[in-house]
Amino acid sequence: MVQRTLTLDHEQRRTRVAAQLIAQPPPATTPVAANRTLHDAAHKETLPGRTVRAEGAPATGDQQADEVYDWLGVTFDFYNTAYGRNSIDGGGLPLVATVHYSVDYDNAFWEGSQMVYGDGDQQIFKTFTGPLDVTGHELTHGVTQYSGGLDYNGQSGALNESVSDVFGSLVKQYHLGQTADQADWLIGQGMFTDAVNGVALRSMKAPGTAYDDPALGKDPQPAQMADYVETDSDNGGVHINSGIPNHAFYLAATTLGGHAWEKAGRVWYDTLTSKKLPSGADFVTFASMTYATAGTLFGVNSTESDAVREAWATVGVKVT
Amino acid sequence: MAVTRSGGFAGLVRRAEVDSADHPTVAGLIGDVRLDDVPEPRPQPDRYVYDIEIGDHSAQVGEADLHGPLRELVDHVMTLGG
Ligand SMILES: [Zn+2]
Repeated sequence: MVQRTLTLDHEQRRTRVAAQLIAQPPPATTPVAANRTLHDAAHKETLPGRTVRAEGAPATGDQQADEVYDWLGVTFDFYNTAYGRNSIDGGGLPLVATVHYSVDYDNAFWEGSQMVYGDGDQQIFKTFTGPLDVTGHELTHGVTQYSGGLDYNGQSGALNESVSDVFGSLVKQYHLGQTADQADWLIGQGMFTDAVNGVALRSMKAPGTAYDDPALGKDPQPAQMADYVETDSDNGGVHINSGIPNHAFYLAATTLGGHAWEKAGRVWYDTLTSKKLPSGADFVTFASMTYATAGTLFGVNSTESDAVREAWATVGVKVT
Repeated sequence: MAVTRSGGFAGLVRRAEVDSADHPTVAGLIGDVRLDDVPEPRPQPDRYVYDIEIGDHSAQVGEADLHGPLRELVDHVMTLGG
Protein backbone atom coordinates (compact mmCIF):
# COMPACT_ATOMS: atom_id res chain seq x y z
CA MET A 1 0.00 0.00 0.00
CA VAL A 2 2.65 2.45 1.12
CA GLN A 3 4.98 1.45 -1.67
CA ARG A 4 2.34 1.78 -4.30
CA THR A 5 1.42 5.27 -3.12
CA LEU A 6 5.07 6.28 -3.31
CA THR A 7 5.36 5.21 -6.91
CA LEU A 8 2.60 7.59 -7.92
CA ASP A 9 3.87 10.84 -9.33
CA HIS A 10 2.76 13.56 -6.95
CA GLU A 11 2.17 16.19 -9.61
CA GLN A 12 0.13 13.74 -11.67
CA ARG A 13 -1.89 12.95 -8.57
CA ARG A 14 -2.62 16.57 -7.77
CA THR A 15 -3.77 17.15 -11.33
CA ARG A 16 -6.06 14.14 -11.15
CA VAL A 17 -7.55 15.28 -7.85
CA ALA A 18 -8.18 18.73 -9.32
CA ALA A 19 -9.85 17.21 -12.38
CA GLN A 20 -12.07 15.10 -10.16
CA LEU A 21 -13.13 18.15 -8.19
CA ILE A 22 -14.32 19.81 -11.37
CA ALA A 23 -15.81 16.80 -13.09
CA GLN A 24 -17.61 15.14 -10.21
CA PRO A 25 -20.29 16.13 -7.70
CA PRO A 26 -19.10 16.70 -4.14
CA PRO A 27 -18.21 13.47 -2.34
CA ALA A 28 -21.16 11.76 -0.74
CA THR A 29 -21.42 12.29 3.00
CA THR A 30 -23.15 8.95 3.56
CA PRO A 31 -20.63 6.33 4.67
CA VAL A 32 -20.27 3.15 2.62
CA ALA A 33 -22.94 0.71 3.79
CA ALA A 34 -24.35 -2.68 2.90
CA ASN A 35 -27.49 -2.93 0.78
CA ARG A 36 -29.04 -6.29 1.67
CA THR A 37 -32.18 -7.99 0.42
CA LEU A 38 -33.35 -11.34 1.79
CA HIS A 39 -35.66 -13.66 -0.11
CA ASP A 40 -37.50 -16.88 0.72
CA ALA A 41 -37.64 -19.65 -1.92
CA ALA A 42 -40.34 -21.47 0.12
CA HIS A 43 -38.60 -24.81 -0.59
CA LYS A 44 -38.81 -24.35 -4.35
CA GLU A 45 -35.83 -23.74 -6.67
CA THR A 46 -36.89 -20.51 -8.30
CA LEU A 47 -34.59 -17.58 -7.56
CA PRO A 48 -34.66 -15.16 -5.92
CA GLY A 49 -38.08 -15.95 -4.41
CA ARG A 50 -40.35 -13.73 -2.31
CA THR A 51 -38.71 -10.68 -0.70
CA VAL A 52 -38.83 -10.93 3.07
CA ARG A 53 -36.44 -8.24 4.28
CA ALA A 54 -34.92 -5.15 2.71
CA GLU A 55 -31.98 -3.12 4.03
CA GLY A 56 -32.82 -1.44 7.31
CA ALA A 57 -36.11 -3.31 7.76
CA PRO A 58 -36.82 -4.96 11.12
CA ALA A 59 -36.11 -8.65 11.75
CA THR A 60 -38.54 -11.01 10.03
CA GLY A 61 -38.78 -13.58 12.82
CA ASP A 62 -37.55 -16.20 10.34
CA GLN A 63 -34.32 -17.29 12.06
CA GLN A 64 -32.50 -18.23 8.86
CA ALA A 65 -33.34 -15.04 7.00
CA ASP A 66 -32.32 -12.96 10.00
CA GLU A 67 -29.06 -14.86 10.53
CA VAL A 68 -28.06 -14.37 6.89
CA TYR A 69 -29.02 -10.68 7.03
CA ASP A 70 -26.66 -10.22 9.99
CA TRP A 71 -23.83 -12.27 8.49
CA LEU A 72 -24.01 -10.42 5.17
CA GLY A 73 -23.60 -7.23 7.20
CA VAL A 74 -20.60 -8.56 9.11
CA THR A 75 -18.92 -9.82 5.92
CA PHE A 76 -19.54 -6.49 4.21
CA ASP A 77 -18.07 -4.67 7.22
CA PHE A 78 -15.06 -7.00 7.28
CA TYR A 79 -14.11 -6.37 3.64
CA ASN A 80 -14.71 -2.65 4.01
CA THR A 81 -12.82 -2.18 7.27
CA ALA A 82 -9.96 -4.62 6.66
CA TYR A 83 -9.31 -3.94 2.97
CA GLY A 84 -11.33 -0.84 2.04
CA ARG A 85 -13.49 -2.91 -0.31
CA ASN A 86 -17.03 -1.65 -0.91
CA SER A 87 -19.00 -4.90 -1.26
CA ILE A 88 -18.26 -7.96 -3.40
CA ASP A 89 -17.42 -6.09 -6.58
CA GLY A 90 -15.70 -3.15 -4.89
CA GLY A 91 -18.44 -0.93 -6.32
CA GLY A 92 -21.23 -1.27 -3.78
CA LEU A 93 -22.96 -4.31 -5.30
CA PRO A 94 -26.25 -5.00 -3.48
CA LEU A 95 -26.12 -8.21 -1.44
CA VAL A 96 -28.94 -10.55 -2.39
CA ALA A 97 -29.61 -13.85 -0.61
CA THR A 98 -32.27 -16.56 -0.70
CA VAL A 99 -33.02 -18.92 2.19
CA HIS A 100 -35.19 -22.08 2.33
CA TYR A 101 -33.97 -23.18 -1.12
CA SER A 102 -35.26 -26.59 -2.25
CA VAL A 103 -36.14 -29.43 0.16
CA ASP A 104 -33.72 -30.82 2.80
CA TYR A 105 -30.99 -29.16 0.75
CA ASP A 106 -27.55 -29.78 2.30
CA ASN A 107 -25.79 -26.91 0.62
CA ALA A 108 -25.16 -23.19 0.22
CA PHE A 109 -23.70 -21.58 -2.90
CA TRP A 110 -22.87 -18.35 -4.68
CA GLU A 111 -24.94 -18.42 -7.85
CA GLY A 112 -22.96 -15.74 -9.74
CA SER A 113 -25.02 -12.81 -8.58
CA GLN A 114 -26.58 -13.89 -5.28
CA MET A 115 -26.29 -16.22 -2.28
CA VAL A 116 -28.44 -19.33 -1.90
CA TYR A 117 -28.95 -21.38 1.29
CA GLY A 118 -30.66 -24.71 1.91
CA ASP A 119 -32.16 -25.65 5.27
CA GLY A 120 -30.05 -28.79 5.74
CA ASP A 121 -31.65 -32.23 6.06
CA GLN A 122 -31.50 -32.25 9.91
CA GLN A 123 -29.97 -35.75 9.74
CA ILE A 124 -26.41 -34.73 8.83
CA PHE A 125 -26.63 -30.96 8.67
CA LYS A 126 -28.67 -28.83 11.02
CA THR A 127 -27.91 -25.44 9.46
CA PHE A 128 -26.12 -23.58 6.69
CA THR A 129 -27.12 -20.10 7.85
CA GLY A 130 -25.83 -20.38 11.43
CA PRO A 131 -22.04 -20.31 11.00
CA LEU A 132 -20.70 -16.92 9.86
CA ASP A 133 -17.84 -18.53 7.94
CA VAL A 134 -20.28 -20.17 5.48
CA THR A 135 -21.54 -16.73 4.42
CA GLY A 136 -17.98 -15.38 4.39
CA HIS A 137 -16.91 -18.34 2.22
CA GLU A 138 -19.75 -17.91 -0.28
CA LEU A 139 -19.45 -14.14 -0.64
CA THR A 140 -15.72 -14.58 -1.21
CA HIS A 141 -16.56 -16.70 -4.27
CA GLY A 142 -18.12 -13.47 -5.51
CA VAL A 143 -15.01 -11.46 -4.65
CA THR A 144 -12.89 -13.99 -6.54
CA GLN A 145 -15.26 -13.82 -9.51
CA TYR A 146 -15.09 -10.01 -9.64
CA SER A 147 -11.29 -10.14 -9.26
CA GLY A 148 -10.87 -12.05 -12.50
CA GLY A 149 -11.70 -15.52 -11.24
CA LEU A 150 -9.91 -18.77 -10.57
CA ASP A 151 -11.02 -21.61 -12.89
CA TYR A 152 -13.11 -23.98 -10.82
CA ASN A 153 -11.23 -27.22 -11.45
CA GLY A 154 -7.93 -28.81 -10.50
CA GLN A 155 -5.35 -26.66 -8.68
CA SER A 156 -6.89 -23.30 -9.62
CA GLY A 157 -10.24 -24.64 -8.38
CA ALA A 158 -8.68 -25.76 -5.11
CA LEU A 159 -7.19 -22.25 -4.78
CA ASN A 160 -10.64 -20.76 -5.43
CA GLU A 161 -12.02 -22.94 -2.63
CA SER A 162 -9.09 -22.17 -0.34
CA VAL A 163 -9.41 -18.41 -0.79
CA SER A 164 -13.08 -18.73 0.22
CA ASP A 165 -12.13 -20.76 3.32
CA VAL A 166 -9.36 -18.29 4.21
CA PHE A 167 -11.58 -15.21 4.13
CA GLY A 168 -14.54 -17.15 5.56
CA SER A 169 -12.39 -17.93 8.59
CA LEU A 170 -11.00 -14.38 8.71
CA VAL A 171 -14.51 -12.87 8.76
CA LYS A 172 -15.27 -15.06 11.77
CA GLN A 173 -11.99 -14.13 13.49
CA TYR A 174 -12.65 -10.44 12.80
CA HIS A 175 -16.17 -10.71 14.24
CA LEU A 176 -14.88 -12.45 17.38
CA GLY A 177 -11.86 -10.15 17.68
CA GLN A 178 -9.53 -13.15 17.70
CA THR A 179 -5.80 -13.31 17.10
CA ALA A 180 -4.33 -16.12 14.99
CA ASP A 181 -3.50 -18.23 18.04
CA GLN A 182 -7.01 -17.82 19.48
CA ALA A 183 -8.89 -18.83 16.31
CA ASP A 184 -10.24 -22.37 15.80
CA TRP A 185 -9.34 -22.35 12.07
CA LEU A 186 -12.35 -24.58 11.39
CA ILE A 187 -14.76 -24.25 8.49
CA GLY A 188 -18.40 -25.01 9.23
CA GLN A 189 -18.10 -25.55 12.97
CA GLY A 190 -21.59 -26.15 14.38
CA MET A 191 -23.21 -27.34 11.15
CA PHE A 192 -23.29 -31.07 11.85
CA THR A 193 -26.08 -32.60 13.91
CA ASP A 194 -25.15 -34.48 17.09
CA ALA A 195 -25.48 -37.73 15.09
CA VAL A 196 -22.26 -36.96 13.21
CA ASN A 197 -18.83 -37.62 14.68
CA GLY A 198 -17.07 -34.44 13.64
CA VAL A 199 -16.37 -30.87 14.76
CA ALA A 200 -16.58 -29.17 11.35
CA LEU A 201 -16.23 -29.73 7.60
CA ARG A 202 -12.62 -28.68 7.27
CA SER A 203 -9.70 -27.74 9.48
CA MET A 204 -7.10 -25.29 8.20
CA LYS A 205 -4.94 -26.02 11.24
CA ALA A 206 -5.00 -29.79 10.76
CA PRO A 207 -6.50 -30.74 7.38
CA GLY A 208 -7.92 -34.27 7.41
CA THR A 209 -9.07 -34.19 11.05
CA ALA A 210 -12.41 -32.32 10.93
CA TYR A 211 -14.61 -35.45 10.96
CA ASP A 212 -14.38 -39.22 11.05
CA ASP A 213 -17.82 -40.75 10.90
CA PRO A 214 -19.23 -44.21 10.04
CA ALA A 215 -21.72 -42.74 7.54
CA LEU A 216 -19.65 -39.86 6.10
CA GLY A 217 -16.20 -41.42 6.17
CA LYS A 218 -13.10 -39.52 7.16
CA ASP A 219 -12.19 -35.92 6.27
CA PRO A 220 -10.16 -36.50 3.06
CA GLN A 221 -8.18 -33.24 3.05
CA PRO A 222 -4.39 -33.39 2.59
CA ALA A 223 -2.06 -30.84 4.20
CA GLN A 224 0.87 -31.66 1.93
CA MET A 225 1.53 -31.43 -1.80
CA ALA A 226 2.83 -35.03 -1.66
CA ASP A 227 -0.71 -36.14 -0.71
CA TYR A 228 -2.51 -34.16 -3.47
CA VAL A 229 -5.57 -36.16 -4.56
CA GLU A 230 -6.09 -36.74 -8.30
CA THR A 231 -9.80 -37.39 -8.93
CA ASP A 232 -12.51 -36.77 -11.52
CA SER A 233 -15.19 -35.97 -8.96
CA ASP A 234 -15.86 -32.53 -7.44
CA ASN A 235 -14.17 -30.79 -10.41
CA GLY A 236 -10.87 -32.47 -9.62
CA GLY A 237 -11.29 -32.53 -5.86
CA VAL A 238 -11.46 -28.77 -5.31
CA HIS A 239 -12.90 -29.24 -1.79
CA ILE A 240 -10.22 -31.84 -0.98
CA ASN A 241 -7.00 -30.29 -2.25
CA SER A 242 -7.89 -26.87 -0.83
CA GLY A 243 -6.45 -28.35 2.39
CA ILE A 244 -2.93 -27.70 1.06
CA PRO A 245 -3.20 -23.91 0.45
CA ASN A 246 -5.48 -23.64 3.52
CA HIS A 247 -2.73 -25.05 5.69
CA ALA A 248 -0.13 -22.78 4.10
CA PHE A 249 -2.25 -19.76 5.05
CA TYR A 250 -2.69 -21.05 8.59
CA LEU A 251 1.10 -21.49 8.93
CA ALA A 252 1.86 -18.00 7.62
CA ALA A 253 -0.81 -16.42 9.83
CA THR A 254 0.21 -18.18 13.03
CA THR A 255 3.91 -17.51 12.41
CA LEU A 256 3.18 -13.80 12.07
CA GLY A 257 0.70 -13.70 14.97
CA GLY A 258 -1.75 -10.94 15.80
CA HIS A 259 -4.94 -10.43 13.78
CA ALA A 260 -4.56 -12.74 10.79
CA TRP A 261 -6.47 -10.45 8.44
CA GLU A 262 -3.90 -7.66 8.89
CA LYS A 263 -0.75 -9.32 7.53
CA ALA A 264 -1.27 -12.78 6.01
CA GLY A 265 -4.84 -11.81 5.04
CA ARG A 266 -3.62 -8.60 3.41
CA VAL A 267 -1.03 -10.54 1.41
CA TRP A 268 -3.63 -13.05 0.17
CA TYR A 269 -6.18 -10.28 -0.52
CA ASP A 270 -3.75 -8.16 -2.53
CA THR A 271 -2.67 -11.22 -4.50
CA LEU A 272 -6.27 -12.20 -5.27
CA THR A 273 -7.25 -8.70 -6.34
CA SER A 274 -3.99 -7.78 -8.12
CA LYS A 275 -5.54 -8.35 -11.56
CA LYS A 276 -2.29 -10.21 -12.34
CA LEU A 277 -3.36 -13.57 -10.99
CA PRO A 278 -4.00 -15.90 -13.96
CA SER A 279 -7.41 -17.60 -13.74
CA GLY A 280 -5.69 -20.93 -14.34
CA ALA A 281 -3.06 -20.38 -11.63
CA ASP A 282 -1.60 -23.50 -10.02
CA PHE A 283 -0.32 -23.69 -6.44
CA VAL A 284 3.26 -22.70 -7.38
CA THR A 285 2.04 -19.63 -9.31
CA PHE A 286 -0.25 -18.50 -6.50
CA ALA A 287 2.39 -19.17 -3.83
CA SER A 288 5.02 -17.24 -5.77
CA MET A 289 2.64 -14.32 -6.18
CA THR A 290 1.84 -14.22 -2.44
CA TYR A 291 5.59 -14.19 -1.76
CA ALA A 292 6.08 -11.30 -4.21
CA THR A 293 3.10 -9.45 -2.69
CA ALA A 294 4.54 -9.88 0.82
CA GLY A 295 7.81 -8.43 -0.48
CA THR A 296 6.01 -5.42 -1.95
CA LEU A 297 3.95 -4.81 1.19
CA PHE A 298 6.52 -5.50 3.90
CA GLY A 299 9.87 -5.58 2.12
CA VAL A 300 11.94 -8.28 0.48
CA ASN A 301 13.51 -10.53 3.16
CA SER A 302 11.13 -9.09 5.74
CA THR A 303 9.77 -11.33 8.52
CA GLU A 304 6.48 -11.35 6.63
CA SER A 305 7.81 -12.45 3.25
CA ASP A 306 10.02 -15.09 4.92
CA ALA A 307 6.98 -16.43 6.79
CA VAL A 308 5.00 -16.69 3.56
CA ARG A 309 7.81 -18.54 1.74
CA GLU A 310 8.36 -20.88 4.69
CA ALA A 311 4.62 -21.61 5.01
CA TRP A 312 4.43 -22.73 1.39
CA ALA A 313 7.67 -24.71 1.71
CA THR A 314 6.24 -26.59 4.70
CA VAL A 315 3.25 -27.81 2.64
CA GLY A 316 5.61 -28.82 -0.18
CA VAL A 317 5.12 -25.86 -2.52
CA LYS A 318 8.34 -24.09 -3.50
CA VAL A 319 7.97 -20.43 -4.46
CA THR A 320 9.84 -19.30 -7.56
CA MET B 1 -27.44 -47.99 -12.29
CA ALA B 2 -25.54 -45.71 -9.93
CA VAL B 3 -25.35 -42.02 -9.02
CA THR B 4 -22.37 -40.45 -7.27
CA ARG B 5 -22.81 -36.92 -6.02
CA SER B 6 -19.71 -34.88 -5.15
CA GLY B 7 -18.96 -31.25 -4.44
CA GLY B 8 -21.19 -28.75 -2.72
CA PHE B 9 -19.90 -26.49 0.05
CA ALA B 10 -19.39 -29.55 2.25
CA GLY B 11 -17.53 -31.54 -0.41
CA LEU B 12 -19.05 -34.80 0.84
CA VAL B 13 -19.45 -37.72 -1.58
CA ARG B 14 -22.71 -39.71 -1.67
CA ARG B 15 -23.21 -42.79 -3.82
CA ALA B 16 -26.47 -44.57 -4.54
CA GLU B 17 -26.92 -47.81 -6.50
CA VAL B 18 -30.16 -49.30 -7.71
CA ASP B 19 -30.90 -52.37 -9.84
CA SER B 20 -33.50 -51.25 -12.35
CA ALA B 21 -34.81 -54.84 -12.57
CA ASP B 22 -36.12 -54.41 -9.02
CA HIS B 23 -37.60 -50.97 -9.61
CA PRO B 24 -40.00 -50.48 -12.53
CA THR B 25 -40.12 -46.70 -11.92
CA VAL B 26 -36.35 -46.50 -12.34
CA ALA B 27 -36.49 -48.68 -15.46
CA GLY B 28 -39.21 -46.42 -16.89
CA LEU B 29 -37.22 -43.24 -16.21
CA ILE B 30 -34.06 -44.76 -17.71
CA GLY B 31 -36.04 -45.20 -20.92
CA ASP B 32 -36.72 -41.43 -21.00
CA VAL B 33 -33.11 -40.40 -20.39
CA ARG B 34 -30.50 -39.67 -23.08
CA LEU B 35 -27.13 -39.70 -21.28
CA ASP B 36 -25.24 -38.87 -24.48
CA ASP B 37 -27.15 -35.59 -24.84
CA VAL B 38 -26.24 -33.99 -21.50
CA PRO B 39 -24.16 -30.82 -21.83
CA GLU B 40 -20.50 -30.66 -20.77
CA PRO B 41 -20.39 -29.68 -17.09
CA ARG B 42 -19.75 -25.98 -16.48
CA PRO B 43 -18.00 -25.88 -13.12
CA GLN B 44 -19.69 -23.52 -10.67
CA PRO B 45 -18.61 -22.84 -7.08
CA ASP B 46 -20.10 -25.19 -4.50
CA ARG B 47 -22.66 -26.75 -6.83
CA TYR B 48 -23.05 -30.51 -6.86
CA VAL B 49 -21.46 -32.66 -9.55
CA TYR B 50 -23.29 -35.90 -10.48
CA ASP B 51 -21.60 -38.93 -12.01
CA ILE B 52 -24.35 -41.03 -13.51
CA GLU B 53 -23.80 -44.62 -14.65
CA ILE B 54 -26.46 -46.56 -16.51
CA GLY B 55 -25.16 -49.96 -17.59
CA ASP B 56 -22.12 -49.27 -19.76
CA HIS B 57 -22.99 -45.60 -20.26
CA SER B 58 -21.84 -42.83 -17.99
CA ALA B 59 -21.95 -39.04 -17.88
CA GLN B 60 -20.99 -36.22 -15.58
CA VAL B 61 -23.70 -33.61 -15.06
CA GLY B 62 -23.63 -30.32 -13.18
CA GLU B 63 -26.42 -29.61 -10.71
CA ALA B 64 -27.61 -26.63 -12.74
CA ASP B 65 -28.02 -28.84 -15.84
CA LEU B 66 -30.02 -31.54 -14.12
CA HIS B 67 -33.55 -31.15 -15.50
CA GLY B 68 -36.56 -33.17 -16.56
CA PRO B 69 -36.47 -36.98 -16.55
CA LEU B 70 -32.76 -37.07 -15.64
CA ARG B 71 -33.43 -35.00 -12.52
CA GLU B 72 -36.36 -37.25 -11.65
CA LEU B 73 -34.22 -40.34 -12.13
CA VAL B 74 -31.33 -38.99 -10.03
CA ASP B 75 -33.66 -37.88 -7.20
CA HIS B 76 -35.39 -41.26 -7.25
CA VAL B 77 -32.16 -43.27 -7.17
CA MET B 78 -30.64 -41.09 -4.42
CA THR B 79 -33.77 -41.65 -2.31
CA LEU B 80 -33.91 -45.41 -2.95
CA GLY B 81 -30.24 -46.28 -2.82
CA GLY B 82 -28.67 -43.50 -0.75
ZN1 LIG C 1 -16.83 -22.89 -2.02
